[in-house]
Amino acid sequence: MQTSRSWIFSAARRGTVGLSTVLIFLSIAERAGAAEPLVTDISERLISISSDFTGTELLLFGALGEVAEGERGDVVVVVRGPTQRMMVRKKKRRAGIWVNTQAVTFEDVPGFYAISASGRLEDIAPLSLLARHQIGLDHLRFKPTPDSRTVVLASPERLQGYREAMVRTLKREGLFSEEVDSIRFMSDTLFRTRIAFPAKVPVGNYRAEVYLIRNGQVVPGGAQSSPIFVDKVGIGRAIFNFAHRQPEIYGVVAVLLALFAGWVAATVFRKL
Amino acid sequence: MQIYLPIAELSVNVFLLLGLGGAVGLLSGMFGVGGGFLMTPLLIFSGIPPIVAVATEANQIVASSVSGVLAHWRRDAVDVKMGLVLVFGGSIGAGVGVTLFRYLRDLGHVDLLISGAYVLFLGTIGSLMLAESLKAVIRRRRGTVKRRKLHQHMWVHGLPFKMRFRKSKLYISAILPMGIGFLVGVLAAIMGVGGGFIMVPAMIYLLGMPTGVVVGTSLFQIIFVTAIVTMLHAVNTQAVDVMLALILLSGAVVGAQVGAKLSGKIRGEELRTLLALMVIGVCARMAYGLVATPEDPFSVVPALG
Repeated sequence: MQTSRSWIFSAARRGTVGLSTVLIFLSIAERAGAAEPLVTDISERLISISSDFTGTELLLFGALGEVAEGERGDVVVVVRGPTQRMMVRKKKRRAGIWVNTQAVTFEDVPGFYAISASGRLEDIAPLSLLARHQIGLDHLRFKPTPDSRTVVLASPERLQGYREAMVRTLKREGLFSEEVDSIRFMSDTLFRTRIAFPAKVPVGNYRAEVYLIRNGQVVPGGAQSSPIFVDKVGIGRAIFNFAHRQPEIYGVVAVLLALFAGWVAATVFRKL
Repeated sequence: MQIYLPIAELSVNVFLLLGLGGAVGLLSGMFGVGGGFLMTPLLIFSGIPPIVAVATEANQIVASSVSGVLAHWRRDAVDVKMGLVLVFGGSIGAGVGVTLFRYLRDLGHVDLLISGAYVLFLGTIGSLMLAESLKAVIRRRRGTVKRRKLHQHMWVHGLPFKMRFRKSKLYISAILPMGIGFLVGVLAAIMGVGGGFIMVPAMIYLLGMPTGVVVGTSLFQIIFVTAIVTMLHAVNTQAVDVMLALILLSGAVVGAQVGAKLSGKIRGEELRTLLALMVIGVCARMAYGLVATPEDPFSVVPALG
């Protein structure tokens, strides 16, 4: 543990990492020293969407236990958001105008899904393992809902097209990401990675999973899962909840507010 | 400075929104129009979801019409009776409009409905305005001015349920203003506009109201119809973003005052030509969005229910 400890102290002196980071590091380094194969922690467990929220980044740290020379293995981090049903619509040109035609709805689509790994997923683990743990965008299982039957029955290729379009769109919006080689090892045993959340990240309960994989298998005790919460806070949360829970009263308040604002504007400018 | 809009659920630059509000307010002050028909498309072009843009703009128009109507009210230039008949038709229209809006949203065609309505109405109104104002410019240059009759009698004036509108000096069938109100109510619900750009010409040319009470009465009924539209959207689509409305509003009230001061300095016909060109510009941009090949023919939305 000596090497990792000296690294973190020198990094703290150089000012490249903050004090809290040092503390997290020291605590997980201690625990990893006590023969746990994998210890991890995240810089924050609660992401608050406030009025000035423009997206955020979490730092995930980890330390490996006793590691034999050249036997370190690989680390994969998966952050999954709450699942929801997603509708994928396809536009076609009809009489010169682009119109939504068919749609497929998928169930169990995570609203957020980010992968970070210390290498290429295919090199780290066999397909069976990736599929079992749904690691990697290609290994997520989305089931089309029964009402999407017409497209599903028409052809599997077409369904695949909808699936790919959904993944492509969510990637473009920063909600899905798969970054290989993005986990940095600062020493033989200490690693860290960043997970970026865009401004339009959905609220709900998230799960950060960390897998330590050696020789194509998850090391015993080398799988960890911890929760992250994403929630709106402050005035934004109040407005959102009000609008969805008491829409009638919200509407009345919105109108009254507008009437008042209009009257104030007219009165103020009349006096100027 | 970015601000996270709670209902639109995205982060937008505050100064962009204030600027948008100010620019549209300036135009509405200069031209005496509500500005919804410019604001809603500009919000959509800048990335606000169309449903939120329409519902929120209805809310904002409530405020701008209140501040506009007060000046007319003080000058006693509002025909309340006519206004209420228009509101009666308008509230039915708003109900029909929001129902249609919600139905097409569930089918995935609401963006098409909004753009289509804009292209159709802005295209028609813009072309008519442009032709009319160009003619006026030419007429003025030639130096001939034709007198217009107070109002013309058409078949519509033969309809039953006649009512007397003292302030407008009219004795006409209530069906006609109700019908106009209905149409404008539908448009308010699906386009996020006050509908002044339809209401004002309809009052002058179809109803034959004296021009002095037209703008005040139009603003008067817009307050009620957009308030009803705001309520219906709040309940049916939950897309009214109060924070967005308030930011736009702060920009718009200032812009409107500046615009009103500027309007005296530019000649009427040139002003109308300019407005017509802007209306046609927005219409063309909307039309382009409908026919241009999209970057990705697929779109993804969270499924409802």
